[in-house]
Amino acid sequence: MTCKDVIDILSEYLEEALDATAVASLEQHLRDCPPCVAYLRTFRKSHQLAGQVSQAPMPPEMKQRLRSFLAAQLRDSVH
Amino acid sequence: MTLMDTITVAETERALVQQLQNHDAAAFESLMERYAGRVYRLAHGITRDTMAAEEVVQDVFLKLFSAIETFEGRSTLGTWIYRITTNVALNKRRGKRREVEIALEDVLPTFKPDGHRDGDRAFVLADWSASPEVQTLTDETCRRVRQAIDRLPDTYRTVLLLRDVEELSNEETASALGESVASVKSRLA
Ligand SMILES: [Zn+2]
Repeated sequence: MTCKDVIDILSEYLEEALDATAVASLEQHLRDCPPCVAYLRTFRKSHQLAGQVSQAPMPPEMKQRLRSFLAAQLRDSVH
Repeated sequence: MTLMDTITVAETERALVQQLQNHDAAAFESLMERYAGRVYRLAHGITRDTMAAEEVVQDVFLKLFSAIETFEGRSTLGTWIYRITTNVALNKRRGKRREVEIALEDVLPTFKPDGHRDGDRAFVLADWSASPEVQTLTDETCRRVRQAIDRLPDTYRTVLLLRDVEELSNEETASALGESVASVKSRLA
């Protein structure tokens, strides 16, 4: 397995969606390849952080506006 | 989620779709309650703008009203809504100046002829690997991560949002984008 092969299946590995054979050869590669281990850690960390910093709750007043807007649209479409 | 949970969710969704297709006002209300927050979060992530995101949310729900009859249940309702949201939000971004975007070749990981990775590229930044598994993020880390996300091309950022924020699988992300799983994965590394 090359480093490129590892990267191809990294997200499945982290989601535990790989079969046992693939997991075994990936972990075999990781034992001999410190750069891939570093990359795996970075990959996991980066995507974790991306999820954490991208939360954007809808402002309550916007939700209220949306509700009125859609109610009006719905009324109009019934006519 | 257990198998029973999955079946219950699927049945609830099927019932909701049926009511929507019958133009049931309460069903639209419940659709909005269930999805408005997620649609807004994704729209905001793609457009990076509160006003633009609000317009996207309105457009998306109008589209949902008019297109629900064509929904055939080949994907889940959620994936279908993410797909519409992605299309509307990316369209809104198109034509806007892309001052912060960087070239694709600066984002993609590169490989040496022997298959080993070459250099440290991409959104996945090398120096984050050394940082301990901190529970609370410092403002500085947040700022740097946001900056890295902002600099990504729109379609890369969209994949990141669907996967890391909306927590879709590679398959669901591909389905929401109408693209292949391979193309989704190429934007994660
Ligand atoms: Zn390697």
